[in-house]
Amino acid sequence: MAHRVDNEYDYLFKIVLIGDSGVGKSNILSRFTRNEFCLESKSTIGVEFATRTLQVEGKTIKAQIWDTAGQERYRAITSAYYRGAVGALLVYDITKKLSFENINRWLSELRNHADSNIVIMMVGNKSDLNHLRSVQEEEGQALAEKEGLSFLETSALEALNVEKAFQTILSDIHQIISKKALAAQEAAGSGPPTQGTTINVADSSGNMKKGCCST
Amino acid sequence: MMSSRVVKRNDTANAISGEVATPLASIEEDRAVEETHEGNSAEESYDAEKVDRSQDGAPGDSTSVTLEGDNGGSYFPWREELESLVRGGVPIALRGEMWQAFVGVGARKITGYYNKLLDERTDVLDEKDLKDQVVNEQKSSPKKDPKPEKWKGQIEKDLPRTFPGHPALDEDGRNALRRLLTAYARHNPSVGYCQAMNFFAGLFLLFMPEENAFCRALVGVIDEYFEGYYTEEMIESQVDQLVLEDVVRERFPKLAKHTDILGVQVTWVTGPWFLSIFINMLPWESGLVLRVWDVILFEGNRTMLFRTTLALLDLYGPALVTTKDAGDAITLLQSLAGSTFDSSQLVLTACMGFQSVKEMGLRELREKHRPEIIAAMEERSKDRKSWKDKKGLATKLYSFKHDPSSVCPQVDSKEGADGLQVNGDSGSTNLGSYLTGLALENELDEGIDLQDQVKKG
Repeated sequence: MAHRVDNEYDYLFKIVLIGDSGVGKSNILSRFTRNEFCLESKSTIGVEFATRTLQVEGKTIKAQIWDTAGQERYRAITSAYYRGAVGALLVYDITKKLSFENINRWLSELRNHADSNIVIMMVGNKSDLNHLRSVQEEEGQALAEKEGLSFLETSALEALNVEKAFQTILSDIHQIISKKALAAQEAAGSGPPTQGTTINVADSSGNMKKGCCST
Repeated sequence: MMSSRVVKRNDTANAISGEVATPLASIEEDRAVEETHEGNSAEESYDAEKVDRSQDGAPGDSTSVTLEGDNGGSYFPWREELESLVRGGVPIALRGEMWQAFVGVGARKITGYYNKLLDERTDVLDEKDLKDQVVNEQKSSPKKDPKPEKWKGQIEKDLPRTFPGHPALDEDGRNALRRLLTAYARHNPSVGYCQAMNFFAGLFLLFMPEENAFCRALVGVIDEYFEGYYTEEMIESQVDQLVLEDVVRERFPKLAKHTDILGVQVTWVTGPWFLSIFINMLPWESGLVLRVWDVILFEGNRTMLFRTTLALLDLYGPALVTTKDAGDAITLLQSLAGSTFDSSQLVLTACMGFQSVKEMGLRELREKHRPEIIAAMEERSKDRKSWKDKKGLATKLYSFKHDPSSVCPQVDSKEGADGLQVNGDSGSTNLGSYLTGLALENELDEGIDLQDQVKKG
């Protein structure tokens, strides 16, 4: 068949990177997908995109990552990119209190425009700038717990926890998905089981682990 | 060399006419250089030129013409030669002058305006205000008082992120960039500062003196050519993407079908192309970005954005239809576009191969699509308010159906509606047996509303 995928990966997950301007989203992306960091990076206009295929819990997962512009007015445009995303890394800068305070606005952005079962991970970036820190790790942790999100502090510059952050969110997604894939298999009974299963968190089962809509 | 390329295009591309082979190429440049020198006072000649620009539109329809008033007697004999020159690439030594001439025609009346804007509130350019500005900019409370200064925080963030490492943007260069962007924000508070403008301003600074970059370039481009693009709502930039989608479907049905199957919207990639006017998207090395800018500034509208995009799709479409998933398609298109080294061929294909794409037609399509975007925007702002009162309800109201009326006779949206929306898993598996392993984002588009209701109900 023309569009058949040759076992290159088991799953394809779309992840969006969101958060205030300048918190380091693009460098998180480049660290994760190309193992690069650029001190003199460019402003992201609209969105940028990259993929990386990796192993998560024994499965080959292709992560499609959308890096979005942080300026507020771009949200009208970038929110169109949330559609189909199964995960979101919500990034703030540990040296910029405001970017942390805006987390709630970003969460409401996701609630309004992304799938309700999207898996969200909160990321406090620039942990290498500890001397300039204005958000304590505990504060981040507390907010994440309150909102039911997973949480990590990262440093794209030092390549600290970036890999782990993606591994965590991807495996969270995978755990949700694998249950569904099983159910889907039983229901449909056609086609090879694990090969290139389309990922859809938007099912009606309400089967979610770390969704965004807990009260 | 040129003509052999052209002939080749003739075979493959849609509708490249035979005349293609005539103009351009480097010989043309030399001749044109002379002409320009001769006429230089390039300004006078281009004044006439700009007024005459209505060629693409119906008489009297072109905004630029009406803006400049005088539309009469407009046959300008150099128009065609100049157009050839521009399409062949403006010689680098003349680029700054010519860009100013193209754009800055109506600008003389505001000489001195720049300094006045900057003098207005010099204190704002002091670093000490920065922190407050950042806070103001991002406070969630509604902004009743759109002082230009509220953009300062964003401008400061973007200064070092504008052509980082470019020798012209050293400390002095950045200061000039700051002044330019600040002056613009004060000049037009309804736009203020929007990311992407930093690159335009930076680009202009590379080619012309600071004040001219403001009066004779930035203001014209943002206020006129890209009116409505970079405002708070960014409506026109969204409208253009819907228009582009229409045009792509019409011109490249096979590609459109393939991207539908993959669940990719071409506009995911082209949106940033348009917004950045190809800066950082097409290679600098081949001069392609600058050549596209030459044409845009000369023509005084956004048609060249469409034509260039279509030329890129024409060039890379055959490769795109071999891709097997959304990620591959997007990555491929991005990387191919970023390595388009034959700038002459691309500009030629854009201008000649797609010359039937005209501003007039685009305008009609814009009119058609604008209401959708405005409606979506209104829903969006409604969303924002109602979410505060009642979680979840707003989501039901909001449904950005990408383009319900016109374009999408999509396989997948139908499938999505049948299977996925109601029952995601079995739906995706059904599809999956047909398109094994493809990620179909569109199904999720369709599913969102329902899902939210299920989840939140």
